[in-house]
Amino acid sequence: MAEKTAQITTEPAVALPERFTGLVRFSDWIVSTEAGRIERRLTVEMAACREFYDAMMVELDDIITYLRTRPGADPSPQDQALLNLVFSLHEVAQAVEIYDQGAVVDGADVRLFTSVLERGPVGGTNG
Amino acid sequence: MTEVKERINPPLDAPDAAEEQYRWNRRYPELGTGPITTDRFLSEEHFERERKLVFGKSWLNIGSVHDFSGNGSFFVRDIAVLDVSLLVVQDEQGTVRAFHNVCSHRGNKLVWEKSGPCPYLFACRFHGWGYKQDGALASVPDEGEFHFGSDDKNPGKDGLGMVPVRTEVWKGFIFVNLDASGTDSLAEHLGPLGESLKDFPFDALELRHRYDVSDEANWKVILDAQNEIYHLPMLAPLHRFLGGGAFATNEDGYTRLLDFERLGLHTVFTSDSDIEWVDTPMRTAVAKAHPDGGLTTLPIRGPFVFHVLFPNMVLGFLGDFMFTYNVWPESVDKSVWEIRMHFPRPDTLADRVIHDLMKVRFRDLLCEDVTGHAALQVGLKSRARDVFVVGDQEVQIRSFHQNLDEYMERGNRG
Repeated sequence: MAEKTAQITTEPAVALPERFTGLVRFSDWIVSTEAGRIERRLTVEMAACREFYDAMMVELDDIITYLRTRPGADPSPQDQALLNLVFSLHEVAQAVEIYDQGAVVDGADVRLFTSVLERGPVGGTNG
Repeated sequence: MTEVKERINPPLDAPDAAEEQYRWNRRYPELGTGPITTDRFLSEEHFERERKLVFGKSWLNIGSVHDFSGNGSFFVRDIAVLDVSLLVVQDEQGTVRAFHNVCSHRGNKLVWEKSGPCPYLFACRFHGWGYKQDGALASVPDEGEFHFGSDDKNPGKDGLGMVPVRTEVWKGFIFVNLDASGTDSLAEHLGPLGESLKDFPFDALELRHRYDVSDEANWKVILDAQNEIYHLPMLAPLHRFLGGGAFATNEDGYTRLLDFERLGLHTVFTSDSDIEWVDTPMRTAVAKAHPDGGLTTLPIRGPFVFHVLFPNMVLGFLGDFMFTYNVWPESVDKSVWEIRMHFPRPDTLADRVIHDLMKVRFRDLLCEDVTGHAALQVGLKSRARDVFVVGDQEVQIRSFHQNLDEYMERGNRG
């Protein structure tokens, strides 16, 4: 549905590590924030979510094996892009494996749960 | 200090012990078996007693050193239930202090920003009075026009610093106590719980995510709902999935606590996982591709450990991460559920994959819970029943409410 996907902010394209350039067709799923990844999970059609999930699950072993060779801090932009792609897979896996839809069934709007650490300065917010 | 990867797993109880009926009541007969009153979740009078006798007197966790951006930084903590705003400062040497966030001149809220590096002076927006990181009043515009120390009624400038609040730090967690006349130390308050975690390598964990969730429920409804796992096989899809064995169940599919202990005012319960538990394809694939099955094992007593730190904090462990809750009442039927997730520093980027997957799952689990909290409040509010019952697998709830009642009784006696 065009009016739903229009809510998604497209990020500037970031290259993936060379050996994973085959995944460039999923570059819309390279999203740098939790809020953005949740938004895609909630608004992209389930058929497209399943296609992404199925393709990524095939690649996952290679991806993890590669990421195991990369130090845990200060990833390159390409490695960060790959991480962000996998983080989107985590969101979509919940939709495919648990809920059969993007939204949490019998739960609240998952948009309530975006880390406040992504939103700038944080204090004690109650009150 | 115990190392992160060194897991302490006590021998599991024999299955027949786990199936012993009324096991926790036998261990803690003083908790009784009676029902819990509905009124305590609804009554303004009860809420006022909690405000005065619990939140006004107890040590309260207001965050951790992770909330600072480094030495020489601050954050502001507003505590609605106590009508206070606190300025919490970590000075250049790393010492943490909390003050009432109030200018000594005319009582203005001093710092309006939520957090940041300390300015040269914390300057009031109203008339520019400036305070140092240790709270001392350092600068007063047009100072000569004030009567500082001129007589007994006029304090000197050195008596007009920010008003300090009792502050102590335990394992990086910052606690304050708004009872200026109180004498109990944080160590006394934490008691055997503090002792039980004294060797835990908190330093090895980093704050990675924080969710501040508005919750349409009494603060104890939220704590109680989290403080048992009886609901896991029933509540909602992800709960049901994990209730199928990520949390150990008996042959009828009901969860069984691995252990439960009262630790002074506080409690801890643990849950094991079923050996035959099969996780999702996603989690299985990530674990398969990762050494050690993808688990950075923390030195904890079981796959799931849940401490309730009286009155409103939870310190829990699930597999390879630590979570905390702070449930902050705003009114009798409205609260903020503050959730933080901490992970070990990633050795490789593959660790970050494991961590994010755990985060997404845990977050969705809590997203299911929050709807349950609101529904509980609606149901209780109908006052269809004056009391409700809890089972032996919900012994944690019984213990919490007994501790709460006894704490308020002691406070009343002064």
